[in-house]
Amino acid sequence: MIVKEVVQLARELETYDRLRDGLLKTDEGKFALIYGKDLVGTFPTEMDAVTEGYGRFGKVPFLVKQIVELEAPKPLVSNLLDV
Amino acid sequence: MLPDLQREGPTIEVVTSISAAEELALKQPGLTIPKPVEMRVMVDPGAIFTVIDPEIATKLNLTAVGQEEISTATSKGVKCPKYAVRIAFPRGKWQGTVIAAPILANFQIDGLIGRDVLANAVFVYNGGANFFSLSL
Repeated sequence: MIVKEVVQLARELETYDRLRDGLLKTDEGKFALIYGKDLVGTFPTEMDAVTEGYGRFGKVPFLVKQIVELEAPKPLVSNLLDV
Repeated sequence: MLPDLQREGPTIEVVTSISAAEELALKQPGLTIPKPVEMRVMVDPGAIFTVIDPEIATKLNLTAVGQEEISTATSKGVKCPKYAVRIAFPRGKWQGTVIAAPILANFQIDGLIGRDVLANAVFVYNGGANFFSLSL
């Protein structure tokens, strides 16, 4: 399940990587909405981008990602996860 | 008799459903809207994100809207899908994105309420009196 969903967004993540440097100059901290190879736009909140994604594309995978300079795994301190 | 808070942790029953935006996207073409799912969750201030078990995501037929890399005590950089959901609590509602990751089976819970929910909540844990409360 985890692997399948992550693979589904591979193209969108490639698009983000390609556009990342430019987005950092103009929209750092905002949330990018990416569908396939296209940047749809940037939004002030994550749910704004999600709402726009469902409104435009319907129920398909799309990527909402915050534009940040440092990409590091988030420490999920909880010890209740089986990962 | 109240459950032993120290042994079982601060667990509550919540109802999770698809986001309002996803519901609208399903309604317009006349598609079926998945029924909300009851979950038993633990309030976990150690969790930076709210987490649902992947099985819940399957039941709600959720579509990924992103991914996060997480690190735990035993793993690093695990990629997890993100989903937009609504969660109804006994006292309040919340809407946002959650990650899907398996929860340790022996805890018999379906998810963790993390600091993203707690950011706008009042969580009181009174171990001496064996009660807690969560208000959003």
